[in-house]
Amino acid sequence: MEEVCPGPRVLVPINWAFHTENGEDFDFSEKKPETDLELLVSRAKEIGKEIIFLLPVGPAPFLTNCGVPHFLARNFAKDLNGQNKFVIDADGNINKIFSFFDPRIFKGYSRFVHFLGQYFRSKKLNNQILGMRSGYLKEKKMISYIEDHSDIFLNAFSKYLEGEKQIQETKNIEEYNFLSPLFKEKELRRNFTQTIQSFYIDEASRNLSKNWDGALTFSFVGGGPEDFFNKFSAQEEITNYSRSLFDSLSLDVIPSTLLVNEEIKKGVLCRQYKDIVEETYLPIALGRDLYVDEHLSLFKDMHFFEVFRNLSNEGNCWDKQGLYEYLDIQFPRVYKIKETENFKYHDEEEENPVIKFIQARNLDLKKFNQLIKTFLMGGKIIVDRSGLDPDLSKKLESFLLENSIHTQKVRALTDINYSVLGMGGLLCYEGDLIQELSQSNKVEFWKKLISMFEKNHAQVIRDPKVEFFWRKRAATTNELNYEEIRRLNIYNPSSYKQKCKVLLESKFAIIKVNGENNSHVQTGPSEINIDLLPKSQVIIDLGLFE
Amino acid sequence: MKGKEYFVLYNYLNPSILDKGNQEHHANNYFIQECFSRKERVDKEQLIELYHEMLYDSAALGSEELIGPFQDKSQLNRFCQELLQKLKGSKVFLFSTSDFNSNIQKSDNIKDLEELFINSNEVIINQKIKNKPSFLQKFFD
Repeated sequence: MEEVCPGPRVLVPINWAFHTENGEDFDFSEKKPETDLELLVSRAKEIGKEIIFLLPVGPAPFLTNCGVPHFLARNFAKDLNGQNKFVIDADGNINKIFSFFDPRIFKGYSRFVHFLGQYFRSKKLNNQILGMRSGYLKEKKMISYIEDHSDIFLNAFSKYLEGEKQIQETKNIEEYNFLSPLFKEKELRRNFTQTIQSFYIDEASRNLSKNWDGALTFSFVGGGPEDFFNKFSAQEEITNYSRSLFDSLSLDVIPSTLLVNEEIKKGVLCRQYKDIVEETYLPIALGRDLYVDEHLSLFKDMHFFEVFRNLSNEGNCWDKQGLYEYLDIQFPRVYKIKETENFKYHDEEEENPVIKFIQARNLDLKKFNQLIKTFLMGGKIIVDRSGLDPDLSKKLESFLLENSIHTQKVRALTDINYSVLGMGGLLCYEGDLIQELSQSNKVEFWKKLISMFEKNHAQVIRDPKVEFFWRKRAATTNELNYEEIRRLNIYNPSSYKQKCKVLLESKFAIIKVNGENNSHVQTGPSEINIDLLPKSQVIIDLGLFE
Repeated sequence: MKGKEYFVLYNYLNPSILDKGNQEHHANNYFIQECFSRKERVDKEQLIELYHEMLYDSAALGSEELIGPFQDKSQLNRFCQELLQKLKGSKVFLFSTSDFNSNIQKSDNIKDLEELFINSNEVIINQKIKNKPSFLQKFFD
């Protein structure tokens, strides 16, 4: 255990199929000693480790049949082309994905979590259990393995549609009527999939209530349908895996390299995983180690922007306005993409203010109120006003008038209104007009817009294969000259020499540079030039003056 | 010597297709989803280029992820023959989505799957390589 998991915590996935042969009897050591979870916990405790259990709440791509017991593995999940869904694991095994919309699977799962709950209670195990949602990344989107287009899904979906229709008829809801049928179907399919996913989560949470600590989302590097062809053709590229690992950061999901072969992941990919997941994201996700002591505070994730989107109509917004392209050039790895349904004011934002991008067409009254609250509490928000509900538009205008909030009006490719209240900033523009612009004008527009907000950031200019990410921590008592300390990890996962440059604003001072494998780092007053040798890494700590 | 062997995964679909007058219509057609071997994955750009060289006058592409349409199986087979010439391959094993599904169902790992792929009933052999005389044939001729 010490060899495989050197850290203080060991994450142990619970394999449903491992504990039952027939779905009626469940084995936790009576027949197979290796199913003894209590023994595992006590052995771990003896060597000072804590076991945290992960319970899949959908297909688990690293398990045979993705975790479904053989007696329930009947109905394949299918993709949009009618192809059976499957994943190739790190050893070249085919893990088939079965439809979690199959009522028999849900029934079997319910039974399993019921017995699992009983077992944990009877053995008085108080270890944390986290739900595990699994998927892979594709073009800035998280695709869940639970998504399905098989007949079994369609049957269940048609029943769901009937139910939705009845609800709409009884409530006389017409909210969907202005939307195109294709949009409606996509939206409803997504809602239905989420509903079924939540059934599995609720079932687990209900039966394991004492140990249950919510569900986390994991993105599996090398787990997409394209990866099958790459693995089959021996075309796996470490640089693609590395990119996927870093892309997970912008979606706030935890990346996993479980599906990547050991030979490929040893070296730079392994180091990246350790830095990103083990040291940064996992402790936060598990709610641990946020503060060790005054002299050893943990580097935490750092980002300046949060882009809120609506997955169902994603095609027509930020992409078309060129926002992602601009951020990828000017502010790579320091923005997050979130769903509008999760838009909410958080108290901790006062400490870590970020600029939020919102599409007004996705706002309802509740979200609108959250937007106003964020602004009042000193938050900075950029709102694409196109499609704003007329009632909400009136509300916004009267809010600004009633509170005598000073609004500057500028004309730069579109009308821009910038309202300021204390630390808060609310910037509104017409996004539909931006979509019509040329790419260079779009970039120019975003450059101007974002320059209205002050940011202290050191830009990284790098060869395409170079990867990097930023973290930050509070200054300790020995570093009182600085407001905070930022750490930049730069990696070259490729087999070629690569270059990278960090442009420093006057507010930054270099504290420490750790080069590796003879990578050459040249520091100057306003920039750092780095020659990265193949598979190497450089760590730079910068102090930000107050 | 065993030459390069490729696998072509095709699909039979009826997507909306734009004809030369940009009119949308639906027709049942074959589309190539992927072409790969044990050593390489054929670039989609290369397939599209060949498609345009061969079937320049035919209807426009229905989707970015699929190469086609091919009006019938013989057109698809001819395309594979041309592809073999271009890639200097010896054979193409063709399989449809349903063949692919049944192969996935039957195999537990990539090795098993490859075995099933090469037992495909639909095989296109590179005619030029097939008809090329061997060294000994040349000697006796």
